[in-house]
Amino acid sequence: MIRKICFGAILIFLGHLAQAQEKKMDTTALMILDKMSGMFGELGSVGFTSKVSKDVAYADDFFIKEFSSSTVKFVGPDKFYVRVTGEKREDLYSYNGSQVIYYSFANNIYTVADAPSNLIETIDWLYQDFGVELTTADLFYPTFSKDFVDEMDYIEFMGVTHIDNQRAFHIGAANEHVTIQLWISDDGFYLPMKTVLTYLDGAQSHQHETDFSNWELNTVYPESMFDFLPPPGARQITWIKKD
Amino acid sequence: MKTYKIKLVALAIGIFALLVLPDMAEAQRMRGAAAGRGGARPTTTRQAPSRTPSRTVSRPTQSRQTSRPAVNKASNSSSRSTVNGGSSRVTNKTTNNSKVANIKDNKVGNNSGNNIGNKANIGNKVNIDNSKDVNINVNNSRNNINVRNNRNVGYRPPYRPYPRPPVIWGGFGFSCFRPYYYHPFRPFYWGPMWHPWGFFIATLATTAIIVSVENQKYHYDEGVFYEEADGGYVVVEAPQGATVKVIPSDAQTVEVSPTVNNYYYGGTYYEKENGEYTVVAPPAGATVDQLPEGAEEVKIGDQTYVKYGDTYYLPVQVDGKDAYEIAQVEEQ
Repeated sequence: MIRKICFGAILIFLGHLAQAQEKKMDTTALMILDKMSGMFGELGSVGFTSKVSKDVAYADDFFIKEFSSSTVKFVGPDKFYVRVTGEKREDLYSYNGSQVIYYSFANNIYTVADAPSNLIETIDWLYQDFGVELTTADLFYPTFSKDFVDEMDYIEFMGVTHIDNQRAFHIGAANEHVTIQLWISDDGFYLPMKTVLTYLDGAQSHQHETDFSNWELNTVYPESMFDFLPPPGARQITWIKKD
Repeated sequence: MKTYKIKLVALAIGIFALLVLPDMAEAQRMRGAAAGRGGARPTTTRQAPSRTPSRTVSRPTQSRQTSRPAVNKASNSSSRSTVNGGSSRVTNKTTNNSKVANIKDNKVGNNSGNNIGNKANIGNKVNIDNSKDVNINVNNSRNNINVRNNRNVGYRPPYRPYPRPPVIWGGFGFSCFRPYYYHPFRPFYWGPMWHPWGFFIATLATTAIIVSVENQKYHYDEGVFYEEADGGYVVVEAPQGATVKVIPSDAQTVEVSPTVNNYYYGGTYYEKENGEYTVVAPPAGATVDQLPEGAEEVKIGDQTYVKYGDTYYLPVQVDGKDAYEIAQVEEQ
């Protein structure tokens, strides 16, 4: 009899453990994420400004904050124009459907690499091969909400808040490596207004914060905007891949 | 009855006159319209004729034609649905060639070495046989000279640890002591006796000596190592381990550690021992002011290094002066 009771108790305990390991997904949060992702899926072009502040390892136990600002134009299916202004640099990344060009305004040097044939693959390839993170590009992936659900253990709608007097949906998510907060506009467009990523792996946690503004939806950008003409005296240098 | 006929004739003349002189009819209609709109402002007070000559004098038609000639008359260049139908260019559309490599790739150094050799042939005036088109290339079956030395290593580790974790790139960690400070790379020439890798020379100076390293014979003169090729000599990368008695007098001192100095000339590092100079690997952490032709700028992540052979140099500043620090590039 005691043996049966013990067995039952163990079963209940194991069942409780299994439940604790289950993911917690808030349906309101998922609906808002789907709305945002679906809206990007319908756009022919998108333009915006993003302001990024991130912690960068300076020494083993010391992070410093780096700030940058990007003007971004994405045109489906195969063009982009991204201008990044940092503390010590001003760079251009442009993609015309076949090549990606990097140009440094400060140093008057540029690199050229043959690129994949569509925007999303090219953004991914740039990150994988050259470590170039154009912006919080994951948001624009067609599988964003699915990937987000797959990768996070916990997603919750944290209520409505205000950023610059504009109503925003606040969503929080976490797994063992990172916590993510998203603020998505409550104006019918469901555009991201702010993201904060806190990485928990490593000796110290570090943050990556992005503020989005100046959204342009379905604006027609001229083709020539994406063709790069090297300025006089500009030197082409070799671009070193990661692999 | 008579008055009726007279009226009829007058009417007929009137109709005829209207048909023959339509201008008159129009003028009358215009005037009528003007009068109809503003009876209080009779047309006679406008004095339109008096304005015409004054305008003609102040803005002659000739000058207008000069400033906007008929050929420049703007129009849409095509029926394309753009603002102006598409513009005509005065510059050619350039084709940008992809130039990508990876860290294990030796392409960068080899390519630049070959190019240098060919270019240098053209401009040289001393002891050069221009009739020989020597193309130094690893894959060239006719001429199997490799200007690069595969036994050489890219750097020697520094005597002290780095304060920061390395920047990881493609499985390699890049470490430097000084912060990155970009300045454009300009190849440096060490004088008329110095030549870059791949350079062909028909005859050597009488001061040249023979140096053997691991059964490989080299000719050495004034800080430059040569290998025999095609009836002449080709400049190659200095073989590490080679020992010479004399190095050029303008070789610079490079501080490796507080107790050890090396000598630097033409991209090669020498260590002095027992009155002789031995070619050594570049000491990581040390800095030099200039790099030779054959070095090439490469973009690694957010930074632009200068690669010479297998050695990566980080652009830095030392006491406000542009310099290059030898980077440690360690496989992770």
